[in-house]
Amino acid sequence: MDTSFENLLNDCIDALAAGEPVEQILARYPHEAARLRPMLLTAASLFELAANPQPEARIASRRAFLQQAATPRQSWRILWQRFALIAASLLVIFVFAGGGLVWAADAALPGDPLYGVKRSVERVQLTFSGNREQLNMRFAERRREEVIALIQRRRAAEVEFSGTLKEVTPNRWAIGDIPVIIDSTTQIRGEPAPGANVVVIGYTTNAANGVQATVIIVGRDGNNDSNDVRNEPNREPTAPLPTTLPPTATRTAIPSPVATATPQPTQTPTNNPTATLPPPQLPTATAIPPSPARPTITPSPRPRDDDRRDETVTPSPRPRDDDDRRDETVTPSPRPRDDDDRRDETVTPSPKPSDDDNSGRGSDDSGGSGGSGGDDDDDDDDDDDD
Amino acid sequence: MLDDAELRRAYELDTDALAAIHDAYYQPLFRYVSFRIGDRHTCEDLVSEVFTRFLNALRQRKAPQSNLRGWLFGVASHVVNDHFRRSYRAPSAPLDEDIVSHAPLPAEVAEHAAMSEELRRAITNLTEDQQQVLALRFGQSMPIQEVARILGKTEGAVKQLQMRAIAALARQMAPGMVD
Repeated sequence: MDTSFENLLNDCIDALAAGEPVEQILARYPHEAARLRPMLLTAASLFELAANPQPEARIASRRAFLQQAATPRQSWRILWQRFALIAASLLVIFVFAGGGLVWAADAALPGDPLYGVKRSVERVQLTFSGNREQLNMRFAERRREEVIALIQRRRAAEVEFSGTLKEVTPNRWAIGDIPVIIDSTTQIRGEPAPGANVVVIGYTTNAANGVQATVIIVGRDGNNDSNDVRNEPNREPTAPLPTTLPPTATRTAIPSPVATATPQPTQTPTNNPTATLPPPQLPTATAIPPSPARPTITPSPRPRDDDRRDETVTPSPRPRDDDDRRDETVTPSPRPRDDDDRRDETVTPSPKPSDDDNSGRGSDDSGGSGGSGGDDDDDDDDDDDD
Repeated sequence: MLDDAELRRAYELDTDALAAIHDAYYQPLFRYVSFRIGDRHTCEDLVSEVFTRFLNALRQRKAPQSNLRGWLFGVASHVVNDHFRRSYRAPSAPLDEDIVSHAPLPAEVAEHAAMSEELRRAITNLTEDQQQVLALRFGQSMPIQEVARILGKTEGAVKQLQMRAIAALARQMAPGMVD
């Protein structure tokens, strides 16, 4: 296998290519013939291996090739590159938009459009957190910071927060660093004592320098319940409660902007008795809230030791959802409260004023502590604790 | 042999230039492919595939600026290898043997076809370089200098590859005749 034999073989192959027969070539190299013979026979076979194309096949291929060249078809690679570019752009947009939403919501305060997002994010965090207690404490701290921010900006909003009671004066409590204004409509549950943990449900106003308290619950750890549906800054009253109706008489007179089926005048008379007959124990039947954001306030704190189940005086017409109003036209005015029936049968005759949400919320809050027998789910805890 | 000016015009997808390239290389490519694959239809499909890849390369500006022939043979080599991989993965009845068994051919022709297939199978056992040398040297009847140029090797290296390839084939085709 030396170089000279490689050259010799190559010369023989050239001769084969020139058309010389194998035996004739071998005759020229008698001393190498034995070695060359099988190789030249193989080489001769190799020359016959390749075939020439048929002319028709060549013409067909030419036509297809030129047609393919004339068609401005994108190669798959280019299409894929474009697709990948678009997909990547969309991904970037979504990630930034989603992240941006959460980021923007992080600074939201009660009443802001994104506040619901903020609370939802918190709920998700709570769900997946291994240390819920610590997280609850952090969120409680957040609630207080939000309230302070609202007060500093003089913004009116509904709030609920919890904290340590630091100072108690007749008209003003200090909970954490937050001044809380107490008036005759404020319902207080539990014995206030400095150092106690309290939950405050109330609202901030444009003017007041503190939180106007609607309900204060002393001695309850607000953390666990601070994420109640009730506390969400949502638009729907989750638990319309029966004790809160003084304003209905006036509100029914307001033409509703909502096209509900039943704003008929015939309903107003049925309301009148309840509207004009507030529960006897109410110190004040109607309290006009200082805030325009809260046109109605829960007017009816009752003594806390009421036995709610025995209570019979019920100003029953309550602001209800529109759906309910459409279906039911009968107002069962004062009647023994039946928790289960309440949702189904009671009717709200009052057409919905524009600030219906707020009034609904007002009744909700006061009812929660007013101890109506019609407590809904959210308030069950309160009752038990009491 | 086409000059580089023609290749530049091919980049503009100039029809005349493309037609000239096709006419110049269809037969060499067909011979190159058929050197390794016996079935005529398969060869035609694979040569078409070479031209399609050439077109895509032109559009993506990845085609060569010169030595188009070497580039096309390189692509043809890949196309043939891809074809072999596919048929290994999905081993249907080998087309070549179909021809051998079904075609109503004279016994002599059939015997020749059978030997060609045996030779092709033996070639697949060679190294990639050896296969390339044989396909150019015998499939294209190229002088050794041109094979060396296309493969970017020295003549001596190509001669060595050639001799070892033929010796290996001869051993397989006619055992005992070669040491």
